[in-house]
Parts: sequence; C-alpha cells; structure tokens
Amino acid sequence: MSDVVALRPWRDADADDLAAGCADPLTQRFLPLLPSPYTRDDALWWIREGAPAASEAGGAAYAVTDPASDRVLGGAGMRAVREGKSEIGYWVAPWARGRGVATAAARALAASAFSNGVGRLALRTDPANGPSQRVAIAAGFAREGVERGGGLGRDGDRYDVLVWGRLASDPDGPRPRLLPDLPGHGPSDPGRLTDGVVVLRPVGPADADDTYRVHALPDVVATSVPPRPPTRAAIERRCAHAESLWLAGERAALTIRDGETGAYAGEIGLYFWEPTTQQAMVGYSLFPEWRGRGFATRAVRLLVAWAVEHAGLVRVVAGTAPDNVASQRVLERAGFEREGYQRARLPGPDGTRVDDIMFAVVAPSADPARRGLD
Amino acid sequence: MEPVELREAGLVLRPFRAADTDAVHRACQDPQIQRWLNIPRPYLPRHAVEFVTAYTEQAWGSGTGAPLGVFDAATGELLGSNGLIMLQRDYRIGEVGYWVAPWARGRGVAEAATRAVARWGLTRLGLERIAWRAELGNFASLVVAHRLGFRMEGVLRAGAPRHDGHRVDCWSAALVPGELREAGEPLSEPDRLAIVRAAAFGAPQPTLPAVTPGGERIALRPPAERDVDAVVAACRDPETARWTTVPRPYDRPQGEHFVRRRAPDAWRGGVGMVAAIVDAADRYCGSMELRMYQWDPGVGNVGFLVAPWARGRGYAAAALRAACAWGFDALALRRIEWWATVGNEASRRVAERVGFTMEGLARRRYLHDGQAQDSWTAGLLPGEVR
Repeated sequence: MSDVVALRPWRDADADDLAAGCADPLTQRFLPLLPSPYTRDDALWWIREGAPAASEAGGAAYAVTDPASDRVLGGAGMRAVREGKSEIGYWVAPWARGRGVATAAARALAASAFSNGVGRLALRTDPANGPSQRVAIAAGFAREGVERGGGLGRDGDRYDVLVWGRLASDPDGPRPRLLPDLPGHGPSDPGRLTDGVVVLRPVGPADADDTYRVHALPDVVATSVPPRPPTRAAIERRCAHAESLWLAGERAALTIRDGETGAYAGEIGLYFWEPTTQQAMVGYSLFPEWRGRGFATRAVRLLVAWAVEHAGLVRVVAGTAPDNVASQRVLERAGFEREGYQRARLPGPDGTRVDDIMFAVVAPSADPARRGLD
Repeated sequence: MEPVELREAGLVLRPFRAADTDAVHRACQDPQIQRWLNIPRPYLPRHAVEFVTAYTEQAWGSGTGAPLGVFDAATGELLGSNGLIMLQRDYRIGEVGYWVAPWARGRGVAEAATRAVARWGLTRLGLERIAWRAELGNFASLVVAHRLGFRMEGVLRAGAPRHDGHRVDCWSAALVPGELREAGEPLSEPDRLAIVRAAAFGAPQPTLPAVTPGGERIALRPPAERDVDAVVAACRDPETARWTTVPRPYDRPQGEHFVRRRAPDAWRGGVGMVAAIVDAADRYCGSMELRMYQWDPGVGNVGFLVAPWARGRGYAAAALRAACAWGFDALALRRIEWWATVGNEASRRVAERVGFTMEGLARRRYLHDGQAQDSWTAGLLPGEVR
C-alpha cells in the first residue's frame, strides 16, 4: 500500500488509540458528526459494528497504521461505489500529524479505487481546514467547487464544504500549486515577508476584526469592485477561507503590519487572475493613521518581488480609478508603470461601468519555461 | 414520509401512480429528455412502470426522495416530473431534479413546479440546502435554476452518471434559505445576465452573416470536420505563427482538436464563441473567437486569424464586426477587448476599422512560443461598432 502507512481493518486492541484520536479537539472540530464526548465505548462500537457495516455496504473503513509498530495513526474510508463514483475521507491522530499520513492513506485509497474501475473519486473538506486541503492537493485532487452550507455542524449549524475530485484519467502525483507558501512557513507558522519596516503575514481567522474595519472605510469601499460595503459575515468567511484561496492558487491575502510592534496597518492581496499568462493583480488598503509612511509602497514591493521570484509571475498589474492619485503614486514608487487607460473596464455602482488606469510591473527576466503551467 | 400534493400556478404536483405510466413512457421518448437525463435507453414501458410504482413508493416510503408528477390542474394532463431526487432529512439537505414533457414546454412549467418543490422543501421539510446539478450544456435547466435564485457553486468533472455508464461534467448549484425567488420578484443582475447568455448558448451556434467592402458575402459559422485541412494550413502559415498564439507545431491533431473540442466546448460551456470565417462558397478562410472573462462576465476578448489565401479582402474586419455586434447583442457585453502583439499592424488596422480605441501598451502581456511579448490593447464599447 505505502511505505508510510498500512491500511487494515480495525481491531478491538485499537480502541484506546481510536478513542484518543477521535476525542482530540481538532478531529472533533472537523468531523462534527463524531459522538461528543467520544468514549472508548464509541470506539468499540465503530470497531465492531460501524466499520464492518460500512464494508458490508460496499465501502471501506480502515485503520491507518504505522507499518512497523502497527500502531493506529488515523482512519481512512471510502463510500460504496455508485455509478462509477465514490468518495473518500480521512483523519489523523494528534500523535501522527505533519508527516504525510493522510496523504499516503488517500493515495492508497485512490490507487485501489481506480484499479477497481472507479471513474471519479470525490473528497470534501472544510475550507477552514488547511491541512486537509494540503492532503487533497498532495493526493492529486482538483478543487471543483464550494457547497454552501453543505456541512452540518454539531450544534445544527451549517458550514461551507469544498468539493474536490480526482478522475481515473488524472495524472498521478500532487496537483501543482500556483502560489507557494511564504518563507518560514511550517506546521505552526504561516510564514512572512519583511523588509524590516513592514511585515506581511497571511490573513487568518484572527484578522477578521481588523479586516472588517479596514474594508468598511468609506474611501476603501469607494475603490472596491463593485463599490459596496462588505458584511461582517462575509469578512469573517473571507478571513477563515484565506488559506483555502491561497492553496487554490487564486489569491494570496496578507496583513500589512508594523515591523517593530506587529500592529495591524492594512491588507494587501495578490489575485492570480490569469495563470496561463503568469499574471496577477495586486490591491491594498491601509488605515488612515498608517498612510503617508511608505507602508503601502513597501508592501507592494515585497509582495511583487516574492511573486516574481517564488510564484514565477511574469507581470503584475494593478488598476486604479483615474482620480485615485494617491494609489497611482504608490504604484509608481513601487516600480509600476502606467500602461494604458481602459474604458468601462470594471463594474461600477448601480450597473454602471467605470474606467481604470492600467499599471504594471514586469519581471526583470521572464523565463516562463521554468514553470509547468498548462 | 407522508406523500404531499402541491399546487402552484395552475399546476398540481402529486406522487406518480400506476395510471401515469403511459404518459411518462410517452414523455421519455423525447430526444431532449434522453439527451440530458440519466434514464435508460431505449426507454421501455417497463421503465415507466418501475418509475411510477416501485421507485416512487420506495423513495416516499423510505424518505430518501420525493418524486412528484406535475399535472395541469384543470385537465389533469401530465406535464412533467419534478421533486427531490435526493433527500437526507437528518442532514436537512436535498437535491431537485426535473423534466418537462415535450408537449408542455415554453410555459414555465419547470420553473413553477421547481419553485413549489423548493418552497415545500425549505419550509415544510426544514431543508437548509437544496442542490441542483445539470450536465454542462443543459441551458434550459440552467435558466430555471437562475430564475429561482440557485447560485452556481462549481463544475464537477465527471460529476454525473449517464445511461451508457460514462460520466459527464456537470454544473453544480444550490439554494439555501432566504434565496428562493418567488414569481414576480425581479431578477438579480447576475441572474438576468446568466439567463440572457443561457438563451444564446442554449441554441445551436448561429451562422452570422457579414459583407466585405468588396461586396463578398462571408459568414461566421461553427467549425466543421471538413475544415480541418484548411485550419491546419492556415495555422501553419508563418505569419499566423508569428502573430497569434496557435500551438506550434500545428499538425492535424491540433486542427482536429480545434474543430472537435475547442469550438464545441466553448459553446457548450457557455464561455464564448469559436467560429470559422467562411467565404460565399462555405470554404474555411480563418478563425474568430469571442470569449468572456471569468473574472468579469461583462467583458469579452476577441482573437482572430485569416488564412493566407484569404488576406487583403476585408474578411477580418467584416467578421470582427459581426462577432462584436453579436457579443453586445446576444451576450449583453459591456466591453470587448482586443490584444495583439506589438507590431501586428494588420490586426491593429482591422480593430481600428471596426471602431476599437487603442488604450495602451502592456509589457509582457502574452506568452508566445515561451516568450512573454508586449501587447497593444484596445477596447470597444456598445454603440461603437463601425
């Protein structure tokens, strides 16, 4: 099956590990249908009844174990195949996280399913569950959509669910990522970009307050597309799902912070709007008290340099409203050049269209051959 | 689950009965129903019997579905099928599925019936999410979903089964509480636009006529198998290779891909038109593409090439004019962009002749043969086509 893990049926002797793994707060958070609290009796029920019933129904429910010690590392399963389609799922015990256990299990399940004639495998993850999405990508699944309210929480709440698919005809190996992680990224560190004066860090759920306040500023609303104030709920979702969009290669959202104190100054984002031509767009917003100190210019420079160096971008564009002189100055100071005036380029208020000035910066030496984009 | 009877806009929805067999069998002979739905082929009387009796009883009995026949409230005539083809009451989710008998189309039956089912599901059953799926290209179904307020959530590759065991890509959408649009409520702007486009792409790709300054009658029509040799010849031409992003090398497989996949997929996916420019004798003379940007469906992008044997006769301008007029009219575009590698004077003259305004020079805008090339860019707004 795999060198990293073995997949085998559950046994009574696994009960303590299974109970400990499923009682873990992260397991409980992202598998809200597990009993809570999760006891040894729940584990024994799963081992003796739940898992065998899943197998009898045509699915599979395995213990994921260490091949050397046979100790439980997690669980993995597959639904019964219907009309050429099935779905897999996995969880990893807290003592086994961060070393590719779920990826190995997902690959093993996929290999087995495809060799048995399955045409499509689905996988559902919580968009707030970054590690699980990393598993999906590493196991070759493509992100295909977001089911709004597709998940049912423990308290009857609903949450969005990402749908991933892998086809028998898809290439083996991980899906390529268009936006890599930042320098310094690790299991408990999202990484950062800094020039000593400002620090850029990926936006996360804890940034919802600041993000909401900056996006509700009247002059930020006025330059948004379309120019409508955001709702608090939309901003919370956006912050909770920021890592998800980063992993999807759609958008890198970062907070701009004071390098000395770490205080929140604003936000900057890189939207990978045309991967086929290796182009992205940059946009930023600062609180008024942090303007006029060169923070936006520094943030743009840092992000563009990273995007060119690490994401292989050939060209980064930024649009500004024709009368937004402050933003145009920032772009010019950050090395952008004004390239054109595009009429009716963007949706404006009340169904109108608004003009946009196109600024761009290009990579000093564009060498597209080094990246395998399709 | 207790069977229901729903009334809506002159319709009655109730579980099928044995007496409905003949009408269901007749309706399911329809080529459109057979084309888009996962039903047995050939559709035999026993399939209809099974559907109106065993399947219906099993779904209602176990609460795993809620299939309903749709009938004319006045005459009792069968008009279609509707209801929940998936139901998980413990998870408070369901999925709608519907068809309309060929004799009942064009009068809003699917919309009204699905509205009744969705309202019943959201209120009486307490559902918190109702999903909708349709094979890519089923624009009639897509229109119903947009009218009712379903929001698109993605494209599932090989997401839906078909009668022959193959799986097909499908659009996926859902409705959550508070989103169901009642009859008479105004459409949102995105839904209105989506419906306009579904009407365009739901019909076969049109042949758009055009006239050159010399009086030649040319046309834009769907590329066909008989064009492959000419497409290959046009795309192997050094000038074509120099100024456009056609694949290199360009051989027969590329030409076949253009005709069999690139053009029909754009139309079926509703993302744009890929057409052959043909002369009065219907001979391939070039290609024209008009695509919508994913990031802003108000904006389109044109690209074209003319075969070496057809240059200098005004074909490109005539074809571009027809494509842009169609884009503003049929797709309700608000802006069409033209991009061309700096130095492509011929293309620029064509764009300017049609009314495009040059707007800038974008450095390293497009990849050409692995090299990022500078591009001119221009824009055309509604009312500016010359």
